[in-house]
Amino acid sequence: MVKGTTVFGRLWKGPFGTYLIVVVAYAIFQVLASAGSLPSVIVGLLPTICAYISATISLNLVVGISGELSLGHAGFMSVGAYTGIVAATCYSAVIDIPWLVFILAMLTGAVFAAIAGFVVGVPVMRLSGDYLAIVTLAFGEIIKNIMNNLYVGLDDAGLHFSFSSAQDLHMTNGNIIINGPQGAVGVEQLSTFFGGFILVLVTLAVVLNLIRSRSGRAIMAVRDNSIAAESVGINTTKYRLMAFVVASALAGMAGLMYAMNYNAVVPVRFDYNASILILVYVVLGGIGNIRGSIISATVLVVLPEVLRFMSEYRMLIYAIVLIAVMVLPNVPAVQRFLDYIQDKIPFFRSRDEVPGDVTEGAE
Amino acid sequence: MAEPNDRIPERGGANQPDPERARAAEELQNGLDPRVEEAYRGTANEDLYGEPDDFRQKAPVARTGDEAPAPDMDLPAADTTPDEPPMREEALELEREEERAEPDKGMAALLNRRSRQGTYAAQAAAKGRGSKARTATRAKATPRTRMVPLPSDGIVPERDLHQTPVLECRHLGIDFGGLHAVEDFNLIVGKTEIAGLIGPNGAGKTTVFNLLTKVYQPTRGTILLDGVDTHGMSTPKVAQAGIARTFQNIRLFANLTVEENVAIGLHNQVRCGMWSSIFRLPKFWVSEHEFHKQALELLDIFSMADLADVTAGNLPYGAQRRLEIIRALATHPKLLLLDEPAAGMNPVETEELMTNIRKIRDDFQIAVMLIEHDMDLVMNICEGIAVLNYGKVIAKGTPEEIQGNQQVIEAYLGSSAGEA
Repeated sequence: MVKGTTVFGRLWKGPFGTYLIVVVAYAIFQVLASAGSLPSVIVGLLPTICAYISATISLNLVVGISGELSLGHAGFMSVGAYTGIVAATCYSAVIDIPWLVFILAMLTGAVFAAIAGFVVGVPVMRLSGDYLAIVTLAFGEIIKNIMNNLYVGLDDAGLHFSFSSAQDLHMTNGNIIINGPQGAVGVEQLSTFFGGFILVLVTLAVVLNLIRSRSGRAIMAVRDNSIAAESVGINTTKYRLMAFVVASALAGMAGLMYAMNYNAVVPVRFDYNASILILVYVVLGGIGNIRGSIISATVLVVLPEVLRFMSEYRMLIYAIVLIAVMVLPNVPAVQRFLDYIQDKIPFFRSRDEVPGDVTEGAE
Repeated sequence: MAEPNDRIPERGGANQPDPERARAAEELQNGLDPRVEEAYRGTANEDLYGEPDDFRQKAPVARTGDEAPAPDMDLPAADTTPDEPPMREEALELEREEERAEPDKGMAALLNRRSRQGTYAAQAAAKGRGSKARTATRAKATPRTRMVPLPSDGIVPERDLHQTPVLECRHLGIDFGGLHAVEDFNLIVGKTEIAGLIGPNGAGKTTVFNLLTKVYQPTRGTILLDGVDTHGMSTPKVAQAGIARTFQNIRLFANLTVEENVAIGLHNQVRCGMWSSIFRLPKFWVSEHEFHKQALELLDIFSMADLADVTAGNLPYGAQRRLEIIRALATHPKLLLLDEPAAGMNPVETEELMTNIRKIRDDFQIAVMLIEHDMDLVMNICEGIAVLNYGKVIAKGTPEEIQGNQQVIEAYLGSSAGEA
């Protein structure tokens, strides 16, 4: 049985290691950006990367920790994004400090996304497996279509809502915040790399703290064996819903971080493809593996930009990379190589090994 | 189990044909269980009929049962405490005695009796039963309805007699389509009893467990857990109310550690909300400490504390079964259901398991009910055994009684076994 080699080794395996990775990565990127060594495209992309990391971590809470395949995650991002943008516009009329406006908008977006998650979750949590996946997909599309038809304007009289057209807002002065299919226009670009970094840390803290608690154990118990979980008195629906709602709230914050990095955000950005993209990040990083989510989201958001020089071939390469990442770990030669590395470097050894000899189970 | 016959003085020559008694028995046929009548004629255990006061005191254990009893079923003693004077009497005799002693009784009792007589007379008249002469006598002597304690088909250990049984199933049944998977299942499990549920494959044993834990909702019947009806409860609610179980095919949380598995069992014992967890409030640290402490205490019972950090799925088979029992115990149950706890265990492990089951019963003062095919284990540790076949209880009794029961032997070996 391999014990944690050093104090640092043990910390590294825990949440501390994950936080450390994020902090170090932030420091490196920050230094590179201020030194001008990063291409401007990447620098502009940094808050987006952070948004995707948060979204991926939050989806991993649903897919990996709670064990439900959700295909509507981008829907909750859009709820957070649009409510957050409207809230930011309202708050900035009162408050002059941009970061405070941003934080308050974040919280507002999170609350509304959580409400949306709850409303969607209550019917969805009656289902499981493929059925749940399809219904979340449908809800994601419903949310997108609602956003496509949503008009919001702000003038001296307050907020105006309409589901038909901008004219229906009946505004004489003031400005339109959300303009139907054209989405949010004239968004204040409040997203910064530092803000994104903080968001990733907050998301990580919420998810990791939740996992390593009574509630988190209950969520994982339901995932591993719902019949056994019920037999020890765990209300399965409650904990599945808890994971879903928390993930929705975090997705809402990620959505706002994403949206506020651009001047205008159209609802189509948060369509089915966006949901699948985040799911791809989760699967590539490892289902249930939070650290993997961070790495895969970063690499896969940056990759298309790095490959831009290959023009039309870049998406081909992107696809090949995806396939390679999924296939290679199952190739025996690669597995042997990885085992060799694990043997040589104690740092990479897995946490626990089978104690004693395992007797064959007579099933 | 007590053997009541040894202690009960023979009175009034129960087996002698007594014309009056025979007549009374005929009357009793009117709406009463045939077994009552049988007992009444003196063919069954006399001990069924305790003195009324005595009977009322023991009400929880003496219950009605209308299933066909096993031929040699040991019906429960209404009172088996040796210190008490043997106050039981055959019902009819008691009635007669009461008649004689009427002046001593209070007015209320008299009135009560009169009203019963009225009912009886009306019934008899309406149904045209009883001879004219008798009716006349009754009219003159103001006859009374004879109230007799219903015999129970339940058995509990002597020590649990004065406590509410932890489990009472009345006429429990479930249909899957047209199939009566379990039918008219009656069972009483004493407060600290180790009960066995055996039967051939497919007899419905696990279905009974699933009914008790509400994995299936019963089609018919009632389940009382420590006197509380579990009707309408969901599986988690029943678990919270006090039924814990293990599974025939092990259902651990295989990706989590041994300690986490036990902590999940402790879910409803230690509280900590989502917000406390997310923000790591002081309550969280207190609860985590409590989880850790209690989990290790429980693991110590099966001396598994040193395996606390091992992933549950990596444990050897026997250890997985033990962990499942610990997880079930962590829910602080009143009744622990073990579905084939010894399956896949070697004789040494089985021996250990037996010791541990007894230890659990003694330490936690809970009832254990187990399904098992290992007859050595069942006959060794079970105090009361129910045998299930085709969804019906075919026999109940002590291990010795079950071993000698012809129906049980037939159920296991086929009907030709008796001839061979």
